[in-house]
Amino acid sequence: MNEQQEKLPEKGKGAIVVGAGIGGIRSALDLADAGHHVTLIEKAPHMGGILSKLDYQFPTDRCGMCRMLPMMHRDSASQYCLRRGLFHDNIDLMLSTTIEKIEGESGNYTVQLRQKKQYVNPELCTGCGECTEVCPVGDIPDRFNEGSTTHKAIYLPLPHAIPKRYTIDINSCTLCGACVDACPENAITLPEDQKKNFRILVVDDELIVRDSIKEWFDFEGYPVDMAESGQIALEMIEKNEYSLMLLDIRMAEMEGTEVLKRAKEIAPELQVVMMTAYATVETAVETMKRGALEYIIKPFDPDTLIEKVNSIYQSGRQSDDVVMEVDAGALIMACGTDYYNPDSGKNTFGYKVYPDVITSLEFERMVSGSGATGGEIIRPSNGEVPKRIAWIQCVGSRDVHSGASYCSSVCCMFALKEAVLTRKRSGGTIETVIYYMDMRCFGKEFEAYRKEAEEKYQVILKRIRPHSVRMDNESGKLRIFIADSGVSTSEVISDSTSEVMSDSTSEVISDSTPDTMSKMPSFSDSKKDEVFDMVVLSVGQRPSSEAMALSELTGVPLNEFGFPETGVFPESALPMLSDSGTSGGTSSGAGASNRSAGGTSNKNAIFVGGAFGGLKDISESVIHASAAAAEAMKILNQLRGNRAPLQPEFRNGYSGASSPILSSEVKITSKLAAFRNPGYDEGDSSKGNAPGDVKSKSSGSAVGQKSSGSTVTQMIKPVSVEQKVLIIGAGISGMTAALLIADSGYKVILVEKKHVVGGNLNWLASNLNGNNFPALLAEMKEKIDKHPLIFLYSGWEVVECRGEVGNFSSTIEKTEEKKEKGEAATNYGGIREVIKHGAVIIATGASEADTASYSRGKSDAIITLKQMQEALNNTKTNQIQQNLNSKVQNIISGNSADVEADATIPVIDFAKLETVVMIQCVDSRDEIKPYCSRVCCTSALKHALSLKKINPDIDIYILYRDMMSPGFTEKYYNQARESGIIFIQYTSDKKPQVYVEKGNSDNVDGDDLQQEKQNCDLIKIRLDEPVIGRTIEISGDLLVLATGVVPSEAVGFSLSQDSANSHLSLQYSGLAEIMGIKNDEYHFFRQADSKWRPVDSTREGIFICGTAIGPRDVEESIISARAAAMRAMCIITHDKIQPSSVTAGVKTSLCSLCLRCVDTCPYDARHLNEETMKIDVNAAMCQGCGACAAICPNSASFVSGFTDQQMFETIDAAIGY
Amino acid sequence: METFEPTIIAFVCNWCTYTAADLAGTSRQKYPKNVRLIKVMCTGMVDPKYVLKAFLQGADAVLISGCHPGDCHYINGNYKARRRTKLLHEILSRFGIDKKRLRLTWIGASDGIEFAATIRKMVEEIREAGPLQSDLKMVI
Repeated sequence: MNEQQEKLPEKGKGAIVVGAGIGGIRSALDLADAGHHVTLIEKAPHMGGILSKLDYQFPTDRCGMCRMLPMMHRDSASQYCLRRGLFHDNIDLMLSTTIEKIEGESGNYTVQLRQKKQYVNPELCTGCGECTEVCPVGDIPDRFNEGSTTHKAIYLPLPHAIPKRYTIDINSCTLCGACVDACPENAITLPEDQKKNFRILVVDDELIVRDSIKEWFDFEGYPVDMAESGQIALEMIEKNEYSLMLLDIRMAEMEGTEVLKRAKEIAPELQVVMMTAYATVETAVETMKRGALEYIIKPFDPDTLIEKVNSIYQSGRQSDDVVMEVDAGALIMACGTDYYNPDSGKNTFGYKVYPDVITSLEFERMVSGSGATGGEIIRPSNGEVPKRIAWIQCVGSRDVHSGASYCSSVCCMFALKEAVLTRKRSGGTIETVIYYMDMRCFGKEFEAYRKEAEEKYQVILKRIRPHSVRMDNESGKLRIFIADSGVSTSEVISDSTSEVMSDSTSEVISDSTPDTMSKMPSFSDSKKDEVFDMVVLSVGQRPSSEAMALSELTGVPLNEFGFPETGVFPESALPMLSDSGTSGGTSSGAGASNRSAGGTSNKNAIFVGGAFGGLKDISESVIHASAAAAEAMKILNQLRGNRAPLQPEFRNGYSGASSPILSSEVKITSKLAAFRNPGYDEGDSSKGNAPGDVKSKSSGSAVGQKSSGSTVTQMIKPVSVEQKVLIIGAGISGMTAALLIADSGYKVILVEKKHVVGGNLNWLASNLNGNNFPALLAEMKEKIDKHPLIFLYSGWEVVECRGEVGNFSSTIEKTEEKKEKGEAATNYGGIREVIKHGAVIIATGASEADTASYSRGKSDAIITLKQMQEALNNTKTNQIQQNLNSKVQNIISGNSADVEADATIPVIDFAKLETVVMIQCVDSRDEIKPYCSRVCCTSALKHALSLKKINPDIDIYILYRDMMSPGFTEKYYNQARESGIIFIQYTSDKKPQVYVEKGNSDNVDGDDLQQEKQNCDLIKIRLDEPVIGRTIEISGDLLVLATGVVPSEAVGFSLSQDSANSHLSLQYSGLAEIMGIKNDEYHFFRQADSKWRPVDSTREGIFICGTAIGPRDVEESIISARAAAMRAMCIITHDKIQPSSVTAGVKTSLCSLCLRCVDTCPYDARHLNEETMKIDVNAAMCQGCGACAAICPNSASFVSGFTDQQMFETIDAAIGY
Repeated sequence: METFEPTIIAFVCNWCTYTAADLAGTSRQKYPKNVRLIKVMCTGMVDPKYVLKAFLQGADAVLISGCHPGDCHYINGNYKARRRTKLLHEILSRFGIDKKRLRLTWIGASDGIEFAATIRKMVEEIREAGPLQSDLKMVI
């Protein structure tokens, strides 16, 4: 206990994290893990946010939330399912708490918090539930189950939460006091019926008015006094204390306005409501100015007045709440998102009209074991098992009418998962159909999941947008009305550029009609209507209800849809209005000048984390949360100066078990203290288990044995940490991570294989939003060069990495100057250096793939997206050359030539192009690259919009499979369609055919060589047009192929065009092998867990970020780099890693060195020490799973707290019980 | 005649089934008192000798329950448990101990209802099967 108190003053300024959903938990855990104090506040009475409602997540269709818990210093945190709650030494969790006020500036905030009054004392409540038995108020919809169940006025907000903290819904509570009498622990204190103290004074010269008002409020339980004149009223106010005065304006003796003025002098706190029969705007405004709360117009009915007074009374009751001030150095907002309510608006799908139409969240509660139906999928209308369920996508997304022209990004996977779950649960007996616009499975593993859903689970996907749902009155089933197939029906191919093929070789869709115009949406086609038993609406995301208020408090701007701006890019890289490339790119940049979370500015230390910024799935939210934590960490570290981080206390294997637990209870009152450790008795009386349950007893005896615990601690010593980070790859991700870590005060060794840093940013001039990447790169380069803590090794590569988390030792080697990309590099017997470091971040990036498909290589007019970007850069630099001096151009083009020596940069005169065709998904989402490359659709949109800007008359066709413009990029897709770019969908089984027609240079002025080269070929593309149902042919001057992204690890994949089958002969540089981590099936680096530990590699202490994980854009790369930096800093902030109490050990006298334990350890925490010939356990890496103990044939390996002896005794005790 | 009340020892993993048991309690699910839970960090740490020990000491059945495949907090502990259970089934059947006396189930953290149902079903089955013959124990 003394230790705890001594530590308090050392805490320093911590951070406040708003929102204890998955994002807030991640941010808080990261900061706490890195030794900062965190106050985690949550508006709801429980933690977990939306994730407390979702039991199943793809790709496992299960949960793995607990993997977010710290792996180092495990004893500091709770060691149980995160759904139950969270405890951490450095985290103060405050539920039912909101922010009132923020004062001060970066690094020095004083934040006023308001915690709702707890009517049930959480320390006394055992969760026995007696109170709910007696509570007379029922039928309150349960938010946890999305309203599908009800609860009483006193209830458990989350059934599995620890502590089992009953809560009173005070607005519904009648204050009858039944629960107070029933509670065996006397834990409940109901608020006094304060209505008795809420005295009302009614001032009116008409007796009938006074009397009737008095009668109404007497009935309501308020004490009421009456005064017949202003003078008497003022005397009464002087004598008694009133909370509210109802004051007539027109009175005989003294005007109400005068009474108001003098009453306010006597009692300034008095609230006054004016009553007037002669209401005019002027009197109202005047009285309001003089301090009246509001006015009410006579004649009024009792309900209106009572409601008004009740609300005044309720708002005054907030004084019950606990208001406190907390100092903080930084603030992270992670309040998540809300969901669209399909009940609002036109509601053509009949939500809440037909009981069998439910939202995706309600469906999620239905399949949950803790939901209303206990996990059974049944029709809400009649309880029968449905035979057919339909999902309707984009409900409240991609829909201008519902105010959301963005894509919610998560619903496609959400629906797929729900459909797969349904198929699995029902054993395939329930048919599942998903109606979608574009199936946006743009994540690394998403495409594979979709394929599995379709092929293995027979989920039916239909690319149709239903317009309404209606119930058949006879059958009670739901009929989905469908307009027509094909979403992009608005575009009609113009005859000048395309011709309808009558060629017999082309396939013509059978139900087509020859006239293109007649294929506009037809509502009469009722054959396509389908009947279902249940309809699930995939509701889109909406900004969190807290976004507006927090934006006002913090000054963080909201974007056009009301989501907080995440502000990833520094000011220098914000889109320039004149150079935004896209006409609509300005909106997202609006308010940029006061952007709070800008990476470069320290003025403001308020950051947006998790899904609060909108439209993120779990993995992205977790990454964003860590990234926000990293930004906060930088501020906090700078504040902390040289003070040591909060060291987790070593609990010494539970020896002296009583003291640490007691002390923590004292330290963190009303929190989760008593439930911190797995071995601690969790008080089974509350669980209502049968008396035979010896759960608590057994766990207590199993873990609580003091003697063995202390012997273990003698054997396992703390692991010292080398407080440096090695970062491999100096692209945008590597540089971001390096700067962040260095700014936080730690040394960084930045190793880049090439001689130029910057990676893909060297050719990528901007993104769809028009951010200025050359400026960003220049700024980053300068900072890296100047930073005293960053040691840049460009032209070096890592050839060896030994050691373990906290203590790596890597060898780096100088690569040969001017070496061609792709050649074997390792055997250059050059200069080597050995570096010691505590953690590794791999940011080796990815590059554009090349292809042999679609006649690539047969014509110079067939280029890739990257070449397109370079050509666009070229035109820009050409213009600069004309207008300014020539140096600028030399520098820029010189750089890119150096980086990609083998890339031929085409020079294209875009003004002279007539028709440009882009084909998406080239070698992607198929056998060659089974994943979606995520960035190609947005790149194509970017290029297309740029082209339209250069030359508005240009015809652009984008041939796509599913348009992956997730999130806010959807607006550019809309823009592109508005600007006349034609989108034609093709399917993977009917790919477009490309023919090259050589030597046609009629339409070119022959004097320019480059142009001639460019334009002499005509590319003919033939494909099936789904809307008109015909095969069409497009003749293009330029064909741009979206070839997708391959990891940089694939060194054999170069842009050279000579090898026809380049995609088949990939070679890998073997960095994964060097680092001892794993690649995934696509040769990116494997994440430890794609959802819960998205930037952790499979080896502890090695983190991955940017495109090395999988395809992502620059913004996402920066965010992931920050997240990886945060995770690395969690390790290197501590000079020692303390082993946890439940850790494995070896009784060497029994060990026969069979090495089975070494093989079985999932964390590589064991190895054979060849000097001592003993098995060493790395206490920092050991997670105490006990796999080694179970496999050991000699019982030499053991887990402290779970030794054989202890387990046997526990079994004995359990059976003898 | 009195109904036979079997003794069942359940090794439950800290992350999933233990939470489910907890949830079963909070949601007022009823299940027979015959089962005694022993919390382990992971089903992968359940040594076969613990199971044998439980049978020797007089348990009529043993339940091992952990996270669903792919969900293991320790990456793959539940797969190890699955392999071990398969082997144990083979060994135990040679001594005449029926397969159903050793069960392995996956019960996730939010499956409180399923946990209670599993226990109910298992107690029912073992009640029908009767006590484990003591002479069989001697063989082991």
